[in-house]
Amino acid sequence: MRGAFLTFFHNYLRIGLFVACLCTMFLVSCGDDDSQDKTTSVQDQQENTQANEAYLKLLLQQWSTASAIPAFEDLVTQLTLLDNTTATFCESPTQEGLEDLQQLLWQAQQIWQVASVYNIEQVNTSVVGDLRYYTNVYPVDISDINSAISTLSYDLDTANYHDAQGFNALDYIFYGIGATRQETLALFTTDSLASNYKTYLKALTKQLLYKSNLVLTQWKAYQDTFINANDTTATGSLAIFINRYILNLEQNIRNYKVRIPAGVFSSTGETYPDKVENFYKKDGSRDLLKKALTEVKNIFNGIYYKNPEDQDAFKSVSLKGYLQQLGKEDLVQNIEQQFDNINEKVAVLDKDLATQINTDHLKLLAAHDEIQKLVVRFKVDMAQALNVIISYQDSDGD
Amino acid sequence: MEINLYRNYLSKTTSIAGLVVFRIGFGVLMVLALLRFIMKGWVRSLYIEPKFHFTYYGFEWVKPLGNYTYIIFIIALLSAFCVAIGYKYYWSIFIFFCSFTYIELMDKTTYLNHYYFVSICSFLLCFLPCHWSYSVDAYHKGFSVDRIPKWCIDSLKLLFTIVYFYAGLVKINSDWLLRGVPLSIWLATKYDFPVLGNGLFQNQSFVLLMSWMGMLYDLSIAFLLWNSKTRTIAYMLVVVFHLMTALLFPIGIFPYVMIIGALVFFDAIFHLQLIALLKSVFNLSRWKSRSKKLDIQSRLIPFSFFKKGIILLFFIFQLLFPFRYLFYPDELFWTEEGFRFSWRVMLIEKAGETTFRVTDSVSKNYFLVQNKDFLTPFQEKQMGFQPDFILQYAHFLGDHFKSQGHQNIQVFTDSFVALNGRLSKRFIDPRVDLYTEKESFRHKTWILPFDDEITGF
Repeated sequence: MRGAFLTFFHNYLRIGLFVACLCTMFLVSCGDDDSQDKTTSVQDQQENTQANEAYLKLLLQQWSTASAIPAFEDLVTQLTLLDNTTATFCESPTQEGLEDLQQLLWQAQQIWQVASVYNIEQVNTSVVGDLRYYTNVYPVDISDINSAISTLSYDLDTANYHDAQGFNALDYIFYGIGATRQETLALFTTDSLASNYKTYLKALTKQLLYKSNLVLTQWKAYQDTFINANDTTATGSLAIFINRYILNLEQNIRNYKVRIPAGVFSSTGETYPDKVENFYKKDGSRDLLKKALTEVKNIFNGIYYKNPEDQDAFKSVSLKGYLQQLGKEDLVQNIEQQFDNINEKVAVLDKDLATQINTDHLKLLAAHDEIQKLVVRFKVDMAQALNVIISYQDSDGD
Repeated sequence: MEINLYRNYLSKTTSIAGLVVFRIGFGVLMVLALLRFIMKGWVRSLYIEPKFHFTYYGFEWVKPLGNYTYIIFIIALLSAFCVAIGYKYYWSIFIFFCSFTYIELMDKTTYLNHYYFVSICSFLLCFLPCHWSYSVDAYHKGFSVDRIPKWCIDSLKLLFTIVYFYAGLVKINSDWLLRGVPLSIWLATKYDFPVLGNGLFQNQSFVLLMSWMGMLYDLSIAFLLWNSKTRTIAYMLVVVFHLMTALLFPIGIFPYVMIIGALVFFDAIFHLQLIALLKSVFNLSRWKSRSKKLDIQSRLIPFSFFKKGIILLFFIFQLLFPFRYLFYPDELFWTEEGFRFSWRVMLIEKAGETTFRVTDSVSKNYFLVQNKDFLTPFQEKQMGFQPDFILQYAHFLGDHFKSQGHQNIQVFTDSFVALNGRLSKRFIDPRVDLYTEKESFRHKTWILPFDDEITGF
């Protein structure tokens, strides 16, 4: 056996050594090029003409530190306030108390439009499922809510109750459960089931706060990992965030807020005005759509939820800037134009999208078509430019 | 005179060692590749879980068999092992060819050039006497043959030559050589690649240099391997090139197939010594001593005119088939008519978003389809930019909604595709009802024109 080894290596060791030398020379020579290049690449970096790792890292830092975590922190603060105010309200239900709750809910929903962009899978493992199931499923099932109130047998952690909790369940209780504010108030005071109403309402605000807080805690623990995974593979943070950013536009904005109520998926041509977000408040659905779209645009332009202390260091990093570094000026212009086109079509919509659907649903469809054009730009052009795989599934390529 | 040359060539013989090394290398690699595939859970995620499969035109009957699909993989795996040890070789390689090709034909979503290469390579191996020596077969029969017709080993070299040369030829186009795409798209963000990742990969001149080197490598490497003077250095290039691609791109086992496969170009002495090494490692030295050597002449009868004819036809097909794209109008990279099975490896970066509108032709009511209700993410991605996928899926949707009681069905698309970093544009004519369009080898007139030019092969 040793003999054969020796013969083999005697004859081919030289080749092996040569391969090793070649590889080393190859790497060393490239290394030389790199060091000669260093001065220019720093210049390039300053002039923002060449894509680079440092820029990507700053972006990841902004998305996590300046947007995701502050947005979730604000959400949790707001929901704590909502929960506390609910407790006070349940002790002594007053008209002012109800108005306060309505106001707090509305503010929380605004923040949710921002936070939901950052609701990535990686921070959802402690929630069981997706945070959206416990916050923003709509339309809500009012018969489930009513029976939960009358029987007080419910389990908000099960899938059955995803559409009986969250912002839209509160929307129903605050605006839709009684025809007027007085009627609603009566349910919490003079109604025979008043204590049941209070119990369920408290359960709802508690659940919202609890689940959102879980995600916030996980985000804080995850943020270093997120910032350091600055490779551009399918498991890198860029891919994770861009996938979420696009999914948010495709699903949360296009599908849930527009497509489904406008009847785009319905095979009978029927529209579903009752499936809009915030159906019972009646004048909030368009503004929530606007808010969500604005956040998409803000992320693109580098306007973050909360800019860190050291503003100068971060000011200029944005998805837009990164695309420009990659030489995609034409795409950037196209996307900016598309944001304008969307704004134009959304601005003319009724404050209540349900009303809009009932009077002239074609206007909502027109807005949908513009949003869809942005989806294409993001999913096809931007993903290609960033070299990010959308909805990655493990397999080989060639 | 020429006939004599031909006869002379056919009667030339060489050592069997090259074929044996190739047989063992191929068999072992296939065992590993299939094991890897199964272990990664891909049998389930790619073949069992999808509700719908994109079949090849003319091979619609080749479909996964539910959980029994695993059996096909086991068959392929066992036969690959038998090929490696040379047990009932002709049966084994034939069964491997059939099972592996069946796997590849089940769903074209997973089409890869290197799987096609494995298929046709195993087809060729069905006709080569790789088991005449150093095999269980030779041991059982008690004889071995040391020399084989030279064309046997040359045919394997020729197959590698075609693959490399054609892969180089198709890189001669303006996108690859002048714009440096798609390489620049893929490399620009690979910051984590050692040494080159930060700086050079973002440098257009460097990317162009890599593009040109890739093209020249593919065009010339096979010839450098044929030539004994340049062989050693050429093989080193093979190793460096394929390891580099293995580091850069998620291309699975392909680099290793080429690195091991290219050993076939070496001399008999190398192969003999490699076999000696293998024998000593596995302590098999006593095996051959039992068998008696047979003269090649007594074993030549099986090489009938028929077999040689098949091999000849096989190579004529391999040489001509990649050029079928010439029969189609418009840009090949855009329509992909004649794109597959022609060694267009890592040649384009394409992405698409295609949605389907199912319309009632009478009431004009329509609704959109959620593709994810029917397709896996991988299928949806592949479908997004390939016209034959779009057509097949449109028919599937039409049939599906018809069976649900919908009437007067028409299927329209909104399809947008971006090719090699150009801005995306509309891909399929949105006015065409794809439910009435039939699949064929003819040009699909409902693909909108590319309206740009890419010159070259």
